[in-house]
Amino acid sequence: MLDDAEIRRLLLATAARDPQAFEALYRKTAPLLLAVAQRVLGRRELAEEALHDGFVRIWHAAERYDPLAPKPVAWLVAIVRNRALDMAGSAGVARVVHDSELIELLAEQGQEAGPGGDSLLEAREQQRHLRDCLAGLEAPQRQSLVLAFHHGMSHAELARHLDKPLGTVKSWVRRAMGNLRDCVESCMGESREARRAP
Amino acid sequence: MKLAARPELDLLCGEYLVGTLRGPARRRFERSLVEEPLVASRLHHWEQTMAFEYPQQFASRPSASTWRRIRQSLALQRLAPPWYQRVAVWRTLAIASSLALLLVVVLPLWRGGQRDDFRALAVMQGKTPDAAVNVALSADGARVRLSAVRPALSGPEHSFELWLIVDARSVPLPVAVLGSLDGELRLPASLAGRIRPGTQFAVSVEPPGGSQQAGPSGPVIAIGTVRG
Repeated sequence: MLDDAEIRRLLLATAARDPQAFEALYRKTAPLLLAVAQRVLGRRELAEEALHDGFVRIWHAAERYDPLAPKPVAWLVAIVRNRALDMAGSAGVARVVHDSELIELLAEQGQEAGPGGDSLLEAREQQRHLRDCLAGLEAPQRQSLVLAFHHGMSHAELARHLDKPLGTVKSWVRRAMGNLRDCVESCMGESREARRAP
Repeated sequence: MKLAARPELDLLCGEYLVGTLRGPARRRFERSLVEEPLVASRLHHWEQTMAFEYPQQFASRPSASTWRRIRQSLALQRLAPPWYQRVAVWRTLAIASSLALLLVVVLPLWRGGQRDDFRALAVMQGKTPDAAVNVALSADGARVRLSAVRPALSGPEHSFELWLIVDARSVPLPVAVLGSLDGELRLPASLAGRIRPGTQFAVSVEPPGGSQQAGPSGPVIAIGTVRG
């Protein structure tokens, strides 16, 4: 489990142009970020390329990192994943995804447990809500969302993979994201209320 | 029309986050992220709300060459601190200095302390004043130190031999065969406790390796009596 406080500290030192902190950040997060890129790109050599490009961007963008953001790893993931998505569009990546892998992904989502602390408690709670809300989506919405997020599939690829019209999968993805966000925000609101109640 | 003002902003944030916003639409969105703070703020909210976590078991170690390429691309080596700003250098220097201090200052002081443990015992006098040899004994009575007023080396043809003369009637007892009249030697166990006031130390010149008989076989060049 990556320690958010440590990653935040290394990011801020990277923003101050400390190459040793940047290297430490790489050593700690590169294995996870490589896995993220590999899920999108499918091929190891392309994923390593995305990791390289992603870290070059991280070095340049570190000064824009918001130190108050509770999930520094999410920021890093977004950069590497975006780069992988760009590459996926131009590299003609072909993916094979099995349903069993999707089930495994859903089961693992939100299972990571970290150290204690109020903000971390809330983060874990949010992950639990996210998992529950994801499980509560209609099956086609959930499937298209997970395929798009974890495997970087475009609308066209989703349509081919699910054998559905393009318009249908676009609608599934949009509804899935909207429903998921509404559900998580609602659950988080209820949790906060419950914590405030005597 | 600014993206921030469009009703589908939230949907676009979601599509961007999940990765289905592609091509020119994705690039337009990224431009808006830089130019329109509200778009960036909205996406930030989405990212924090919908932060999917990747389990650590997905992790996969990158090859060593990837980090080398990142270093090269960013020319990080040029940002590496010069040697005098590296903590490791100063730490090593500090340790080395401490050891040097120990060797140069503390150890001699410690040995000096040992030197102070010697007490002057006798002065062996030769035919001339500068042929004198000082004799000192360690506090534990186990070691004798000789220091010649004028350095004296035996050369390859001869050896010096140090003797202890317990009394005038006894045969001198051999202490050590020496190449020089400066130095420290361990007193034979048989002689420990036999050095008393009135006993004498003497040095004779002997064949290489020392006298071949009981007592000196060559000339005695210096002799001195142990003080009371």
